[in-house]
Amino acid sequence: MVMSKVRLVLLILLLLYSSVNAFESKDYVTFFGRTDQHVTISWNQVSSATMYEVRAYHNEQEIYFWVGSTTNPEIIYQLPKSGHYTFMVRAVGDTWETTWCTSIDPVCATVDGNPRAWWAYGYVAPPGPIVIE
Amino acid sequence: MAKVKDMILTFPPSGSPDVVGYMLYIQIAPDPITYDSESFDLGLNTTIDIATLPGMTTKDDIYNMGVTAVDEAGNESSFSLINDVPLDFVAPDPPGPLSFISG
Repeated sequence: MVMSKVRLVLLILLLLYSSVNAFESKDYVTFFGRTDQHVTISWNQVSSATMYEVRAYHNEQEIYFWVGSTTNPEIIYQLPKSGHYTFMVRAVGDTWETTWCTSIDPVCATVDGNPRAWWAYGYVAPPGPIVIE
Repeated sequence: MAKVKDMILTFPPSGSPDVVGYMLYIQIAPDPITYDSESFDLGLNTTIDIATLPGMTTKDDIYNMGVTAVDEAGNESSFSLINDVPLDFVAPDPPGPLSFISG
């Protein structure tokens, strides 16, 4: 009887452990907008960097888009299609390049100055106003 | 074969870069337009003669209308709407019968 209870408790603990570890919990901030609008991505400067490279990852289609390279710590971009996007930036120097800083990594991503994972969702923009003649 | 009057519907295109077409939705007023309303695939046309759309020659009522943009993945935008549009593509019966009255 005691062994059965112990087994039951162990089983419950195992189930709890399994359920907690079955999914990874991340708190994403989602920025919503339309794909006829432009988004501005910014980051901190890296000393001695000669430029920054930026790319976007379209989560639904699992493809990367080259956003561009710039010497400024920000870039303006129009989402090329509807869907969820995560953004990545890396600094490039004369003989080196950093790893990619990803917007869904709260270690290097911020929202309103606070460490926070984020991504963006772009909707298809509707047509303009209808006119009937 | 009756002749119905042209009714031209136009709208500025969506600014999204991956739009592959537009949809026109119509709904008898005052019911609101939904994605389940009667619809017509406009292709990439942003100017259309409504009278030429299939089934229009039976329409004679007040309609709400909406257009959406469709992207390559099949996602649809929100509606651009116009309400209370009178559609009347039902031509009246012809006069007749013709008679010849001799003088």
